[in-house]
Amino acid sequence: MDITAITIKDALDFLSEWRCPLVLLLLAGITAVLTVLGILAVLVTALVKSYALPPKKHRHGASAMFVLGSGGHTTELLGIVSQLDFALYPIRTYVSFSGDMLSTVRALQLEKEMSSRSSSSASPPPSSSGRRQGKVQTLELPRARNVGQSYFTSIFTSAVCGFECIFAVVKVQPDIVVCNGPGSCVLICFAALLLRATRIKLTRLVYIESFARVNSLSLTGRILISIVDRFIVQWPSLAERYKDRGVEYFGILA
Amino acid sequence: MPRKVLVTTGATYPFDALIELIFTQRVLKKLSALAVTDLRIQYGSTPTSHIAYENCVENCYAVLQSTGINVTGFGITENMASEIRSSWLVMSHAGTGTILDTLRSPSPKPRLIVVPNPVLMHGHQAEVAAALEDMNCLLYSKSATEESIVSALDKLDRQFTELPQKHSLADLVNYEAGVFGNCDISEKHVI
Repeated sequence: MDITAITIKDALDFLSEWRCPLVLLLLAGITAVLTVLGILAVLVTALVKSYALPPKKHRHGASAMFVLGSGGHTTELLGIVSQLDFALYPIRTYVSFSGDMLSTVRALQLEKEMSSRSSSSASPPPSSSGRRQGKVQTLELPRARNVGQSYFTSIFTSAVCGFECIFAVVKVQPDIVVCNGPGSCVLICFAALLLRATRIKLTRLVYIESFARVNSLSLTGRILISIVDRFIVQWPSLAERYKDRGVEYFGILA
Repeated sequence: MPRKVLVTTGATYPFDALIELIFTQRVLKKLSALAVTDLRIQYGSTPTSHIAYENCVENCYAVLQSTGINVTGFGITENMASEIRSSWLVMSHAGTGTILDTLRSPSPKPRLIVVPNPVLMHGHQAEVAAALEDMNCLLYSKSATEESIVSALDKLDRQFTELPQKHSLADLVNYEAGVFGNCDISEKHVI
């Protein structure tokens, strides 16, 4: 008895029955799910692999994104930014979140100070060939959640904030993101992971835990510790407690 | 020589309890014994704090007269750094900003006593002050009480340790961004 013949005949019979469209739909559904899972698997693998890669060299200078939290967070981060040689970072983007006008103002103040400092110390003229076109910009993104906002509406504002973060990160394509909390910088980091997973850009992530954190990590820190390339704390007690998680401690940075 | 004491409650949360503690007979007498001539109070931006400050000064008028301490006050200022620099002693809430501004101010540095705001005690705010007291950089008054503040004022003659220099993250960030100072210079020479 020819098994193949029977199977094909059975299958044809089956397809000609009324259930046929349903089965086709099911098959299409399974294919779609498998494709999505496949793409996800590829992206996740690419993302995981990206952590093993060394930072890419940028001989013509890098594009840096600094995420300014607000208040004390901004003070600490701008303190670190002021130590950098701006000639190495021709493209600098300062991100702040709505309702925090002061951070942008302070970032521009620092830019002004730095430019007057470099021009007074007889720096070489900006070379045109090879060098990346310099650009300084400030972005103000909507907040994930305003103070006192209800949790239900905050789902929507968070979504808006998330999309804006993705849009900003994809548009700027920074080589490095430096942040130190609070909350909203998590979304920027997640958006940067999209760039890494798709290999659009191997954006490196550096997170600095606040000087105010002596014995325990902030919520932002606890989320970002497994995502960022470098996680820096400012107290030895924290470094000791989280040493298995690759936390680094150099001393006080503030 | 004038000896100025700066009392700062911070800009964010009102801390009227600190002002009320300073304007008690016991603390004022102690300050007078320490040869303090000027008392400068930063009471915060809320109107109630302003009223609390005014009331304190009024209630202590007699004591202030007898000790000869000159009291001035203000809500908030942009020039906190110079206020701190001209002080002999800073008595501050546990805000990291004021603590760092004081410990990083140029020599001669003011001494620093940190009094935590009881309203914020559930948070992690006071941890920095406690950790810095362990390093002998400042005095930490564990509670906002007269006894605690007076006992901190008794310990002011000790030698305080300087806060360690701040470490630069420039090398780490440069490495992660894939840029290097010297590589950039050689590039400029080529051009």
